[in-house]
Formats: sequence, C-alpha cells, structure tokens
Amino acid sequence: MNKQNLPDKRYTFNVKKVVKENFKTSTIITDGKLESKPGQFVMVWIPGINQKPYSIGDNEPFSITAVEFGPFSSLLNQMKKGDKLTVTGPLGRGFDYKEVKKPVLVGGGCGIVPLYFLAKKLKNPAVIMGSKTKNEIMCRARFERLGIKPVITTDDGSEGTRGFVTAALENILEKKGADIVYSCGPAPMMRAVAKICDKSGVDYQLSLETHMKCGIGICGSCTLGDKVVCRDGPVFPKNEIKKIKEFWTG
Amino acid sequence: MADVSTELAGIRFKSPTILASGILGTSKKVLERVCSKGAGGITTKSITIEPRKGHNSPIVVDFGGGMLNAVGYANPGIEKALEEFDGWEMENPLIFSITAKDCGEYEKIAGMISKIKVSAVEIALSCPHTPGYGLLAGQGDPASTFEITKSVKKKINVPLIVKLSPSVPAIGEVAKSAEKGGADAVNMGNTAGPGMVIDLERKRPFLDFKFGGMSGPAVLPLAVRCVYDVYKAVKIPVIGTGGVTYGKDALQMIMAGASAVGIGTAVYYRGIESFSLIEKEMKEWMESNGYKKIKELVGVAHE
Repeated sequence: MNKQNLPDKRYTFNVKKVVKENFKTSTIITDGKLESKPGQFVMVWIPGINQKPYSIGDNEPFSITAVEFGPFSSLLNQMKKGDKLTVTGPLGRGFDYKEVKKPVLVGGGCGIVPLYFLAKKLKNPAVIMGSKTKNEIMCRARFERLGIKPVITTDDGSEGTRGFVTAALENILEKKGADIVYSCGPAPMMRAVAKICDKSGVDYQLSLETHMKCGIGICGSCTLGDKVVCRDGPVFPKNEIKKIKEFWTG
Repeated sequence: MADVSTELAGIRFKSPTILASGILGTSKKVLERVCSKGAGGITTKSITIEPRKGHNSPIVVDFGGGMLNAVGYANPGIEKALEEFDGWEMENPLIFSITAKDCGEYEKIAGMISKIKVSAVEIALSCPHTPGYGLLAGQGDPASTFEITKSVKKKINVPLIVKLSPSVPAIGEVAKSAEKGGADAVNMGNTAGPGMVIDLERKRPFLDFKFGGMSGPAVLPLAVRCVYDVYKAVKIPVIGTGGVTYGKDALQMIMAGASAVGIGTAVYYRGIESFSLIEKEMKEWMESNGYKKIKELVGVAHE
C-alpha cells in the first residue's frame, strides 16, 4: 500500500458532451480537468443510486466511458450535456511509463479506455483492441486522432482480424518486438497476455479489476490474494502479478 | 529496547496494536499481510449468520477530521467465514468478530465458531449504522449488553470481548453489564455518532445510507474519555479503539487504561504500515521517558 494518494477529494463536473461509442457505450466528457495518471480511477457517484469505479479516460478534459450492463451504467449512458458528474479521485496506482521505448497496449472491451489516456503519454505505441464483435468496438477514432492505427481483433471476425488479441500480440512481439506490454481487459485475456509476455521475456503491467466498494483501501471487498486492488493497484507490475496466485487460477 | 508486548484476558500480543473489526477483514491472506506488517493481532470483519451485501456505495467518506462510514455489515456469512479463517497459523492472535439481531441468533452463531481455532470472540453491540443490529436495535444499553454477553459466553470456549459504543450515556454502566455477563475484556469502542456529510454540489447526504459512524482523529478525545470511564468502572482489561493514528495517540489510550489499542482508520491515512509505525513511535516515547514495559503505563492517568 502506498500513502501518496490520500485522495478523498470529490469533484463535481458539468457534462459538456456525450459521445456515443457504440450501441451500449458512451463517453462522458466534462468541462474540467482532473490531475491524474493513466491507469488511475475515480469513484463515480449518482446520488441516491450507488457509487462505482471507472477508469479515467482522459484528464483534460476529464472523461469516463461507461458500458451499459446494469441500472447504474444505464443512467450514465443517459447523461446529457449540462448534467452533473460527481467523482472522488483520482484513486489507486496508475501505470508506470518512465523511459519506455517500445510499448504495446492491449485492451479488451472497455479495458481500452485507460489505455487511451496512457497512449497520449507515450511515443508511437502499438495498440491492439479486442472486441466480441464489430458493433462493440469503442474509442477507435480517439486513437486515430493521435495518429495511432490500432490493430482490431473481433471474436467473430466481423471487423479486423478474427480471433483474440493474443494472436495479434504474438505477431507484434515477433515482428517488431517490445520492451513492455500494458494491458487492461477481462481476466482470462490478461492471463493469456501475461503468459505470452513471460514466454517472450517481455515486461508487463496489468490493470486488474475486482469488485470495489470504498475505493480507498478500507472495506476489503476488492482483495485478490493479499492485495487490496483499489489501493495497492489497480495497476500491478510483472513481479507483483507473478506472486498473486489468485490471478493465475482465476 | 522498550517492551510493548501486552496481555489481555490471557492472550499474548507481541505488539499492542490490533486491527479493528471492519477494516480489510474478510480475507485471510490480507490479514496475514497485516500481521506481517506489524499488527499485534487482528480482528475479522463482523460476521453474521447469513451473507450480507451491506449498504450501497458510497459506504465511506473522508470528512476532513476523520472518516464517516456506513458499510452495513457486508460479509460472506458464518459458513464461508469459518472456511476462510480455518487453519490460522500466525502467532498473532485472531479475534473473530460476530454480530446478530438478538440473543437467539447470537447463541447460534457463537456456537459455530468452536469449529475453528480463534484466540477470542468479539461481539459488536455498538454499530451505529445498520438497521436490526447494534445501537439501532437497542443492543447498546446495559440490560441488552448483559443478556447478549451472557448468551454468547456460554456458547464459546475462548475469551469474550464485548465492543461498546462511545455514543451512549453512562458508558461505565454498560461496561459493568458486560463484565457481569461474563465478558473477559471490553473493546472501547466502535465508531461514534452516527454523523452525516452533505455534498454541497449535489445538496444530498453523501453516504448512500445517509448517516454513518465517525472514526479517525476527530473521535480520539471521545474514545480516550470512554476508555478512562470504563477503566474506572470494571476490572476486566480494556482495548482502546477510536482515532489512534500515531504512537502518541496509542499512549493516551494506554494511560487512560487500555491494555491494547484498536487500529482502523489509520490504515487509510498511513497504509498497512500504520501498525509498525505506531509501535515504533510508542517505543521511542517510552525510551526517552524511561519506561521499559507498557504495563507500567496502563491507567497511569488515574493516579
């Protein structure tokens, strides 16, 4: 646990724009700035409903991206210009990207969101984004505006390469090489990514997701092994990932 | 080197810092880590018969002088918890905390704990933010405290710690009831209040449950006074819990009469390292003031 984040800072932003990413996903862009690092997250509060963790999609203007899968994310998807967005944060440990030369970013589903914020800080990162199907792809245009052409994979082959991100990653590692892989997405995907990196001797950092309730390392609902994910992570380096047995066994 | 080891109801603690119930306490591996980082002992989250989801988030907020929480006893239920904490091998004592709605339920859950090895059982009669339990069920008054303590005591074969609220009148009388009911120690105490934080921008109480228990530096003087009162009222040992963040806070508790201190909100401020930091700060003070053992300081404020 680190104590550099004594964060309980709460901000209320005005929603400036809502971008429809796909049929069930919206990016909520606010009118403000949130001093934060890629990989950190915020707890988003909808008064009277609940409070849930969301990756920081961008710091200036501050944005989050929400995929609709329950009542809370559905409300976020209904947000419109002029609404208020209240968040506590930034929370947790983000990605470490000092002196990185050849990074590869691998995002699965909405795991791509924090990787866009990271991509903004890196020089020419290779980006792989995996989705189930064409109409679930998100954030692609944002990467293109940075001059990055993401490698797209879909499980059903409806767009880009058919299959998982893993084949695309092996391909990049083989052809261009990398000094580090950053990944965020479903646990089985990240396990596969970590295994490929281990085999190729490439360093990696993963952003883990567990069920967070307090976001500040107190309630214990997000533990994985002996880690308190919201405060020790959510980003973990290779040497720590190696020791989390529960990550590898799922 | 000053000796900060302590003894409480026959249980030895290498350090007087005990992880308070409710903080990080549902995972054995995390609690082992807390011990390896210096906690003298640990307390599990309070366990109920059935699993509980607890309140919706926000369940906790930093109000400036401390924290306000309304977790609502989120826990996996007694069966899962017994599985999780079975085979505790650390030498640091494991205190198993339980909570229930009435004597019958308390007896039932207490009777199940003997399946695993624990150093003590703690009952929380003092939660200020969960309907049906603790203060909101009237468990904090002297009569209920006596009845529940007696019920649990006959069902367990390890020491019983009764955790009291700092927000009730005549706390000494409540502590006496616990002692009379058979408690082996008193944990003084739970979070204070309840209190409320209102978000100015949204003009609403911030916690989903609207109100919650206060902890952290703001409640230290309240907790120290309660420990002082309880120490005067009973002969059984006292754990002082509430606002202990630094070694000097722990020493105030000890001087008021505590034999050990509970640590909770400090974990938010100083991380899991809180335990070793507080212990180090206590030792430094003791050495520069010529004290060799914690025992020499317990209750000295009463002299």
